[in-house]
Amino acid sequence: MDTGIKERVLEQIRKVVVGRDREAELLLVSFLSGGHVLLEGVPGVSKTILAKSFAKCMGLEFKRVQFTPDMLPMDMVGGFVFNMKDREFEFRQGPVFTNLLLADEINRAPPKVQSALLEAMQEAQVTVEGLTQKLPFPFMVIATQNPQEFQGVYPLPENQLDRFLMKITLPYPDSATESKIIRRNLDEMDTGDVKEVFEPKELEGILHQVEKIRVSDEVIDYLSTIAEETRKEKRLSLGASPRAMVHLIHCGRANAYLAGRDFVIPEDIKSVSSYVLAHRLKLDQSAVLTGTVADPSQVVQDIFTKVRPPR
Amino acid sequence: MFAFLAIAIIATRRIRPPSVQDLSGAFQDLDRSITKFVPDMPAGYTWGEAVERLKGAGVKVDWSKMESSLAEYEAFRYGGRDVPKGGEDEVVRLSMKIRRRIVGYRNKRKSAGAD
Repeated sequence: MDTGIKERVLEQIRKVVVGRDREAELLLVSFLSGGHVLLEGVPGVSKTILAKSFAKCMGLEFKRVQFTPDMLPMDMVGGFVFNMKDREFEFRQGPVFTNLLLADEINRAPPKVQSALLEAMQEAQVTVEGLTQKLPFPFMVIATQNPQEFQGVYPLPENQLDRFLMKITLPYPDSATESKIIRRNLDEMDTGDVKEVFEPKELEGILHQVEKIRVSDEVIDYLSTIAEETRKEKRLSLGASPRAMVHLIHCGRANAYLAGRDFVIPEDIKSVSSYVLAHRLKLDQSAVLTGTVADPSQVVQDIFTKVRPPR
Repeated sequence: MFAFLAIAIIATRRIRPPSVQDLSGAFQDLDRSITKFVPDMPAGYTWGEAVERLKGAGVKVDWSKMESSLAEYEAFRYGGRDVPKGGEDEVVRLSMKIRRRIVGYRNKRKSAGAD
């Protein structure tokens, strides 16, 4: 167990991103959990630079795809092109063949493209015309979307949202942080300042260690109770899926690893519950209209406040 | 007023420390104390949250000892280790402090009412 990992990563990210420690930490937790992240925020709140600097310090190959309404699935996964020299079709890999894919403004792409990402995100492979190709290991998607856009966008369906381990909302920075950002940007600043924290082999070792973190039966039962509560909750019309609970336990393991423990405690799960669950839950319309609840994360917090963890 | 004050002091003193066998028993007793005597602590509290909360409330115990006892207890409770030997004294102290504090508070109110 290496307790210094989080600090090493944050130290590098702080060189270019100001005031986003918690978000960077959540990216690290998602990465160690083998999951994908949806970053939501208005333009200019450092979503892209955060993803870029994270990829850089983790020593990951990084590719960025700007999603647009006229995009085709092959623009992302790749496709067969005719090789004039050999006189045969050959597969040309798309930008998805990387370690960290930044899917910028994912909700601007048509559903066909979004669903092409599904297989990649779920199984770390892509299939084009019957040919299945494995994606590089590790593979992570960081998608971004702007919550203020309503025109020319295709909101992600529930099944796609469920594939994202976490949804992280980036609010505007407070005025002190904003002053720091402006002051810092008076000079040229780029991700070139960010140093790699890990060797590829070291990273692989860490990911294997996270998988070995112990999860007691009682902690698993605690999660089952939470899942059941979300499904019984009157303010929700869609509760948490079993996949959501699996994602939550993976995050618990990653948190335990970062805390230097080889076992998961309920707090490891509770601390990321809103980020992992809220985007998968659907509020009941009558609860919204009566003003009982406005945000699914409020329901998640209420459930975790109510359900007794193993103590 | 003095009679009520005397009763309050006696009532506070009458709380005997629980007889706990080990660290696990001490934490179970602490859980009972928190559940019973800290009414605004939600049912879903975790140990980390409880420690933060009580620390913030100014309960005076040796928090570094308490935290190392908690780490050992968690290793037993969730990590499958053997029941740790020792370390329960500070947990019992915290549990007693929680009880005394509430009893003391109740008695204070009672005494104020008598005035």
